[in-house]
Amino acid sequence: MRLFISVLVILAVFLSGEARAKVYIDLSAPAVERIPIAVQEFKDLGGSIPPETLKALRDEIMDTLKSDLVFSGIFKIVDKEAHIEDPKAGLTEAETNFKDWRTSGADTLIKAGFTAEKDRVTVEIRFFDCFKEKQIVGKKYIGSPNSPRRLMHYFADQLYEELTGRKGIFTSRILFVSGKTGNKEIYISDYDGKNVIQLTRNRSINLSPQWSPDGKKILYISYKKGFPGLYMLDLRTGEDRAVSNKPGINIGGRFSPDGNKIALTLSGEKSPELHVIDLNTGEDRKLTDNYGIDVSPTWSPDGKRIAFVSDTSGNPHIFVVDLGTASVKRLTFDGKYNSSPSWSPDGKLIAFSRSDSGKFNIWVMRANGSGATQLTFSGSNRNPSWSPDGRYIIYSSSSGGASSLFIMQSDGTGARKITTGVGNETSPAWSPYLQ
Amino acid sequence: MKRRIFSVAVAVFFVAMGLSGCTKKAVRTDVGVGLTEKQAEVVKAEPVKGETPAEQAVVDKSPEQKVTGLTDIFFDFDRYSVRDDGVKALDTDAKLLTSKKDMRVVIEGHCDERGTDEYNIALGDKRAEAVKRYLTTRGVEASRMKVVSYGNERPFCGNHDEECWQSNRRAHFVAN
Repeated sequence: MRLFISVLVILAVFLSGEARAKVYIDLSAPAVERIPIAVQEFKDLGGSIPPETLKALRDEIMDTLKSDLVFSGIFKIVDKEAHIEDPKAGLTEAETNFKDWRTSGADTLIKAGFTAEKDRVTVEIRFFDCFKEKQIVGKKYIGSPNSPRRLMHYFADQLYEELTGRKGIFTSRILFVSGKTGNKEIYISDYDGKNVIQLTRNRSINLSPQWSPDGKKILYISYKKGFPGLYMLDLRTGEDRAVSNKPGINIGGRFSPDGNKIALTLSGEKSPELHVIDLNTGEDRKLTDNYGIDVSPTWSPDGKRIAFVSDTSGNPHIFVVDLGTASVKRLTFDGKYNSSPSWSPDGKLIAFSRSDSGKFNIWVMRANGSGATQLTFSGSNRNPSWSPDGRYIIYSSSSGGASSLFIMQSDGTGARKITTGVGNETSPAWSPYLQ
Repeated sequence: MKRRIFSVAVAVFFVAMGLSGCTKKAVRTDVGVGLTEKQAEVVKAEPVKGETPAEQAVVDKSPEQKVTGLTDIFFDFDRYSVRDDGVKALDTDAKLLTSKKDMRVVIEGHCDERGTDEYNIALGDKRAEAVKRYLTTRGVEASRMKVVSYGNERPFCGNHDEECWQSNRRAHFVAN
């Protein structure tokens, strides 16, 4: 099979008049009002594509940017109808009439110009503070016309970092499963559900995709040999290989934080037990040994512990095993069915899904099992996965027969549906930072 | 105003099919608003080719199943112990299997939709293994029975009610 390397290239150059801001917005401060931001219609700076394509491109990159700005939780978009600055005004700080923008209700402003050619798109983009009348961020991006949205995700990441001092998640991606073709296959998209690519096409059952810590490989379960095996797909080269294909089940593989090991469940001829296999030495360490079910491992970010689901107490509950001492501790005691634990990037929390009645909801608890808090309250919600900055959780939500993906803030507020266009999506996995 | 390029970040991204071969070249661009970009490395973007070709399908969506004459076994929610009604059925199944020495079977483990994918694959495995173990105690050679768990991936009934769920919590026999 020929490889997928995809090549999207982005080149960022700071534009003139760069003011090196320190932390501009303090995210740890108590919730502040969203800052009004005006996004002026991007200017066509010349290029060689037909006007219709140009308009579609402009709409797409502007929509991407606005959607990222709103998603950030920092900004609200000033209605285009309120813009009063002469559209002919230039893009630089000196050419901008900040008084007009303040009159429009904009505290901040983005102006950009773009050049579209057959083989590349160039966008130069600036962020201004309308009160200080200063350019805070200016960048220029050159990228493939195949995924112009990513240019804006790169800018959103850089703007976010410039303003908050924290890395943005706008260039991150998600893996998910959909049975839309009649078979469950694995898909990948940008964090916002756009830019979808189908990764598996084996027409069997493919489940539970998971990222490698460097974002270059994925693990997934596939029935392509007739039973559940664990496979690893290299996203750059397209190389697909079996990680574990033993008799019985080979499921739930998760990379260790250093990428050298994989935790998974193997049943062999006996019972489904948790194992850790070393990818370099092939060493196989069995972590559990009981008559019950032990599945769905999630590593602590320091790689010292693994939380997992076990039914050894009668019903599915979440346990944690210390890899140093091999001691196992039970974390959940409530709920009839606790499943799909996901350790937060800062190591402090574990998100999971819990059911009392057949309908699941997303919960979080401290990593020691205390302080369990319910985050979702309607539909049936499963498979939580943290954004790399820990600010958001993506999960699948179903009501009736159909399932879709939602992203909420990690405190359970601001849930929004992610539309991929594929339909019936389940088992989302949010990537690490990909830069 | 200082005109200076602070940094040139080139990020090459993957995922999208296409092909390798990055050509590096230096470009000089003059843009419309008086900004001059100094020599910057541009990695040429390659066109996205198609998606991966379909792999050989190994598992057929609805394989034609040979009739075994064996009776399927049903389970309680989240349980993998064989119920009394299952024991009766398995005793009959065992007689049939011991009388047909050349018969080989796959025991499929199935679950209802009320659970999570990975847990249900393990649960289906436990169910099918429980059936296999019982049949072994009744004289059926383990080598004639293969276990495959489908979790909740191949339901027999698609409705969302207890009748359907019960129908889906089963160990199902398929001739091998």
